[in-house]
Amino acid sequence: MTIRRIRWAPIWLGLIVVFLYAPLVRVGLNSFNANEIGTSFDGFTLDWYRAAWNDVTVRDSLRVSLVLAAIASVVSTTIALGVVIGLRRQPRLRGLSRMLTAGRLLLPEVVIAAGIAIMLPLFGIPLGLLALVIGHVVFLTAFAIVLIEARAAGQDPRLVDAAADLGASPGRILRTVVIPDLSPGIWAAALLTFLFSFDDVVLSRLLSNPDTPTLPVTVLSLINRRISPEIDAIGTVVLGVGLVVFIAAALIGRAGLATALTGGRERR
Amino acid sequence: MSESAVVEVRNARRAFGATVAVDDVSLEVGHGEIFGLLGPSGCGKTTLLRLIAGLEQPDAGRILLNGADVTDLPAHRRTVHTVFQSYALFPRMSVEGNVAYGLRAAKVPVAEVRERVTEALRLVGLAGKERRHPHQLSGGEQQRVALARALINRPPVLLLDEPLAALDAHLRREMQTELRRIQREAECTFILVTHDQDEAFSLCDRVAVMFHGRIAQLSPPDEMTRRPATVEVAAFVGRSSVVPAVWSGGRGLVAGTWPVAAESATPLADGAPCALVLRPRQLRLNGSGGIAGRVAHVAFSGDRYEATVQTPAGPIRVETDDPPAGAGTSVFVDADGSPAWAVSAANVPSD
Repeated sequence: MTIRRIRWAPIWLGLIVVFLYAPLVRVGLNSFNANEIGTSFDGFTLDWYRAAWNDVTVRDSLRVSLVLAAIASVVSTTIALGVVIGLRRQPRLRGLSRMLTAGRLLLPEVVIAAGIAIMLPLFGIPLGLLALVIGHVVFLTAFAIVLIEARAAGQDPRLVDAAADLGASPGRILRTVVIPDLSPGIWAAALLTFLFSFDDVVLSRLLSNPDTPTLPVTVLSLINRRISPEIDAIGTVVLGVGLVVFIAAALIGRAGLATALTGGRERR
Repeated sequence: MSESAVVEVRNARRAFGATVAVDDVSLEVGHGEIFGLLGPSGCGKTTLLRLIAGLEQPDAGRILLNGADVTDLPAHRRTVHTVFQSYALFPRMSVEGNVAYGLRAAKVPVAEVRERVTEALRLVGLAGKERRHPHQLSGGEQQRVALARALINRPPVLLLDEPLAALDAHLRREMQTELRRIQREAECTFILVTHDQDEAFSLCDRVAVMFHGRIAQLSPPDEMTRRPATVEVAAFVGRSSVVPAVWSGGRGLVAGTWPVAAESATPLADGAPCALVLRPRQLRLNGSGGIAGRVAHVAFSGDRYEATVQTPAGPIRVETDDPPAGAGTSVFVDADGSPAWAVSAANVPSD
């Protein structure tokens, strides 16, 4: 009985992994498949990548997505850092901030997106990059705050006391003690908000300029028209970008933590 | 004294909600002194230290450094530096970065920084460890880095919050000697907070004992054990036994039967209730005479014995050279003739 259970466990795990990742593998393989319908693998080709690259809409929307993700990531991480630092001085506002943050994370994205889409014309802001940046920043700041706060919560308040005691001005304390200590959280926030912005569909769908949508929106409309290995090629590229950013975030998080806590101890 | 006081605290008060951590405290610390703030945890000694450092603002009262009122100056504008409990070293900076922090904040030229870091590390016996990080150091070494970091700006006063609490007993004794040497070499005034009376008494020139945010007694250590100001002080410091008595003609009458010759700071009226502070060393065990009791237990402390005798007046500790009678034996406790210390008390603890 027991033995049978132990034998089943890896099989279940295997099935789950297959279920989760088989579609990704299929997308990856199919992007190199010479057979357009993808029913069988008829030889290796880069035609679909070429086709995607030569598609002006795809190229334009890739550019929009990258620019958007970069701006949204920098802006929301900066705002979040400001919020976290501000909360250290005004701990009474922490409850309010938590509520606002949680609100943005818990509300369905489509509701927030619709709200923003309705609000923007009132301020005379047309659909397009600016609207996208505003929408993404509203949403992503909440993620960034959570990530940086998590790091700030572990910060030893006596380090700030020690720096002040040694004659460091508040600005110097921020530069030399507080921000360096938060940096793993800051980097993680910057990279993850980039990633979230880059593959966001809901907000982007409602806030994009219809002529130059973001990449995920373009892909969505391509799928509506025809299912082609071109989409698999785009998907594979996006997946690749995502993986690189994600691994970078994980490595930076680890490296930062390592210097502060464990790495040095292991070295000793 | 006011002229030469390096630190002066005048009627300082600091409350956290309903808890008054520091309650109308005044004190002066002279140049080159090692001054101890002693008391049980929660007595307000660390808050008082933080008031002097500027890390805490007083609700009332003034703080003076070298005669200048610094009450309204924030911590980073005060020339007082602190060695924090468990050190608070900057984990992401090397030893050099930690020690040089105060100099860099003061915008000292690079060449001088290097020179003074080397000198400070030499002073604390850590020469050559500049490149290490705090987590690569032992507890004792971290302590030395904290000292070097706090001393590098040559503060007139160094505040030390439980500086030895995180060290093991052996290292603690070693660091006590080290602290004295460093204090002399750096020509600095030390104010140190501790809950450990042995530490306070062996290191400090003067000690203030605090209870509930107030200073109960401020005196040199030997006076504190020999002539405690209140029953609370007597019970907290030293190993003396405190027993209730009634004052009668220059003597305290314990349990109505045992007269003990005693001195007191203020004259006591005949018939006044008081507490007698009996040092273990001034008592002896007899076959008869004194107060009757039963040996509760015997402890051996290095080279002498200490018997705790249960008497009608409460437990009394007696020190003897020879092994005393075992637990359960009936004995008499008597004074050796040297005067005990009497503290006037309306409410003497009943135990």
